[in-house]
Amino acid sequence: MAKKNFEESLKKLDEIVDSLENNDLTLEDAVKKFEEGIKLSKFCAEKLDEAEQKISVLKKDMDGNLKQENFDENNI
Amino acid sequence: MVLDQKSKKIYTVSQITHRIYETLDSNFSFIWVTGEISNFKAPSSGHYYFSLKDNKALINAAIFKNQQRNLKFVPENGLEVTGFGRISVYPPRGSYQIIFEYLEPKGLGSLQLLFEQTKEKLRQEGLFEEKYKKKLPFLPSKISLVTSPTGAAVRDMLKVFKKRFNNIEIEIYPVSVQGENAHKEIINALNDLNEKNDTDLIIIARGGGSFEDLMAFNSEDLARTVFNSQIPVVSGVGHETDFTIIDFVSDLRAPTPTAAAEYSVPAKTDLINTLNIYKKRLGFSLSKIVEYKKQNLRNTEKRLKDPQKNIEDTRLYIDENLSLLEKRVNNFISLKKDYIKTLEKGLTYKKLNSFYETNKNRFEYSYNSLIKNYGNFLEKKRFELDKNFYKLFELGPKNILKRGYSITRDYNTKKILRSVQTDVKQNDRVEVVMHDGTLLCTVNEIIRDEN
Repeated sequence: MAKKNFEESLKKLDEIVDSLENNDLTLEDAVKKFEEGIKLSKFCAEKLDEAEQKISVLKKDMDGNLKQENFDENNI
Repeated sequence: MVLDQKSKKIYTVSQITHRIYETLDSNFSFIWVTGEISNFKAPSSGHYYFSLKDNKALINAAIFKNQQRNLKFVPENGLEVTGFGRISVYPPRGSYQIIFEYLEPKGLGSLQLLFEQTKEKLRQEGLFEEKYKKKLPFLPSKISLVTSPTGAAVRDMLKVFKKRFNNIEIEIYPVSVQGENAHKEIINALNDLNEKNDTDLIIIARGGGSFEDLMAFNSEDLARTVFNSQIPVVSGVGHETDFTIIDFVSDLRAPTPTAAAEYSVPAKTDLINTLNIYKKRLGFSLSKIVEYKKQNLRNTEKRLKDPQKNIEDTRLYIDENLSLLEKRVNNFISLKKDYIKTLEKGLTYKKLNSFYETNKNRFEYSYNSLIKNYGNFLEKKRFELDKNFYKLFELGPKNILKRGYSITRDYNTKKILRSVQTDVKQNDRVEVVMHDGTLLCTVNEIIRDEN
């Protein structure tokens, strides 16, 4: 569930950009928000590249237990 | 018509009923009948009883329990149906009816009808309501595909995932998507995945096919399983125009497997773009804020001056105003002075004038008396002086005068005349004083000496 936080972070980033653009912030707050925003955008970018694509297929064994096997696309 | 008593044949009720039975059974043992269902009853025996009618006639009908497995729909009142059966007579009641072997809805196919019936039933139960739809994850980590592992559908979807977001985990749960057991396999898959609970999204997919091919996805049981899934379900079955029951209960209906895949994952490039735009906006808005603050600072600086300068400015200000004040005061004073002067002028002249006017008589009197007194006084003094002059004269020059000298004086002024040139004129009155008296003379002629 590694990408669960992505949407939340993106939403937060949107809020930060919005408040930077529309609110009368003190310089300290603005810099703080900016840094937070940069951190979030970095986090999101990292999330996007996280993990390799993996395609598997589920098979049931003799006892009815599910097992993951690699899926060979060439078999389609 | 002449009735022939001999040839007359008399039936018992049973006999005639049997003849009717035979006639109907032989003539109407395999017939197709069409009409509208009414008076539908399904008693506990499990058989269906109803009437079939058109606008002029009505016939009773029945389908026995054994034949019902062939029905692809549930008969209901008002339904136009066409059926295959035989006419049967029920002797105890003297009634006849059609016993249907097979029945199908007129117009719609029976599968279509079943679809409509299931749909209506689930709709009434509220299974399609929007409030039950689960939100799809914005960016799923793992997606499970419940589909055939060998169809075009799975190939299309994998293509989309590769293009849109190439590093999301995809898990395929292979199922039959057609045939008797298809809906059961799909139900099992959904149950397994929910039990496993390690995936973010389930896509149920199948490529296009005939209405019959897609029947598995119209199963009421499958629809309920989809509805009950804790994991969001996207349905992508058939082509754009195909609708199946699970389309209505799934959390999102996609028109095709490809669309289902597209709806399930965001395009990575879009996300990267979005992130970049956010980053740009972050930088831009911060620098805007900094620029704004700078401007503010500059403005404040402008207002904040060196106090020394401030003092000098104030001094200048004060000086300027002081001199202005001075000028004004001076003007004021001189104006007042002038005014006072004019007042004074007017005051002196007027006062004196009026003073004079009121005391005019007294002045004139005083003046006159002064003149008079002064004149008297002068007369007296002159007289005294004359007396004294003579006394003095007697004492001094008298002896000289005795010798023949005389003194000539102006008669009026008593000034001694010393020169005919300057002291006397013709016709002046003069007195010539001698030692024993005075001659009063008038000058007849003046004879000046030659030199």
